[in-house]
Amino acid sequence: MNWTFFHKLGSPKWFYDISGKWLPWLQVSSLVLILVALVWGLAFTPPDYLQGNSYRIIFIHVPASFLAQAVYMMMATAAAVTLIWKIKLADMALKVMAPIGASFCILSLATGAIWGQPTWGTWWVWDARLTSMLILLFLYIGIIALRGAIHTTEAAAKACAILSLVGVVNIPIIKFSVDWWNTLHQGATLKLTEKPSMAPEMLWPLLLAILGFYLFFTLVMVLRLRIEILSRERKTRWVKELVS
Amino acid sequence: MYFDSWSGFLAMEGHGLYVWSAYAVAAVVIAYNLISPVMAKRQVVAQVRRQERLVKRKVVVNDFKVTTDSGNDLEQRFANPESAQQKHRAERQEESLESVEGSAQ
Repeated sequence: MNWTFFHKLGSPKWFYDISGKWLPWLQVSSLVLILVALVWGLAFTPPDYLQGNSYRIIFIHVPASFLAQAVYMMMATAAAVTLIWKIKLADMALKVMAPIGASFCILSLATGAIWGQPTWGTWWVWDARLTSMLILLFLYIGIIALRGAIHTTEAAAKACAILSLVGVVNIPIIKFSVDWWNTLHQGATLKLTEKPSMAPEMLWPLLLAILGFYLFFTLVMVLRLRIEILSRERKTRWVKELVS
Repeated sequence: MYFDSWSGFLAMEGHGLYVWSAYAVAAVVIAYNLISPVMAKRQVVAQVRRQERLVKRKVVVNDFKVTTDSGNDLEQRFANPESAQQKHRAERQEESLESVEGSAQ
């Protein structure tokens, strides 16, 4: 097998050059998808027979929650690559994904609290799903803080990678919490193995919103990663020539 | 379109405050994710430029040092202090030997 692509992927300069070509596509597709999905979800779908119009929060709550967990899994993958192959780009990705994941985790918790008030009659309960999402936010904050506390780049990379990997244990807990401890949070609406328990006129805008949020994440992640590359490679000639 | 009017759309049959505040939080998070890379880029560009100015200044200082200190015996001693010490000790031993010979005569 030809492994050159793998080494190319690890080269910051190569990634900087190629990712520049992705940016316009990511900008247009994420903007169009999010706009279409949210306008559709806010104005054109019928209200839920039980929850009324408050259910329209689902079109941001579910994509944000999906992303908060998916970003963590991506960080854990980057952590494994950092520890095994010592690829610098993987550690840079780990670093730049943490604040993005944390922001989506906050969005998930905030929209959930706002949705909980009219639906459950409370902003917050110590339900298993809610608590494990809060722990996920603390993990994100912990990883960001850990990197800030260690000044050597290599030592910080190793410590953050280990913490990210340890935190993975929380992801299946979040996923199965609604089945194991069936308290207040409803079960999964979308499942890979079963038909979704949602009317198609509500399902379509939700799927578009999820896709749009994923593309938006890819866009801002690439933007941040490119800047992190410039920062870490600032002593190389190509960065100096690019900046000046 | 599900709603009849703009006011109906904004009111969301009583759930307007919840729905719109949730979407406002989403707008804030999206804005944060778009603005923070722009700020970070400005910082990095400034950092690279500052570093380049510093490097240019340092090169001038080094040139000055090289022209003044080159060929100086002191520099060699500091570069290899052990050999300098040994040399010094050997000289002192020669001196003391001479003084012993002098007292014997």
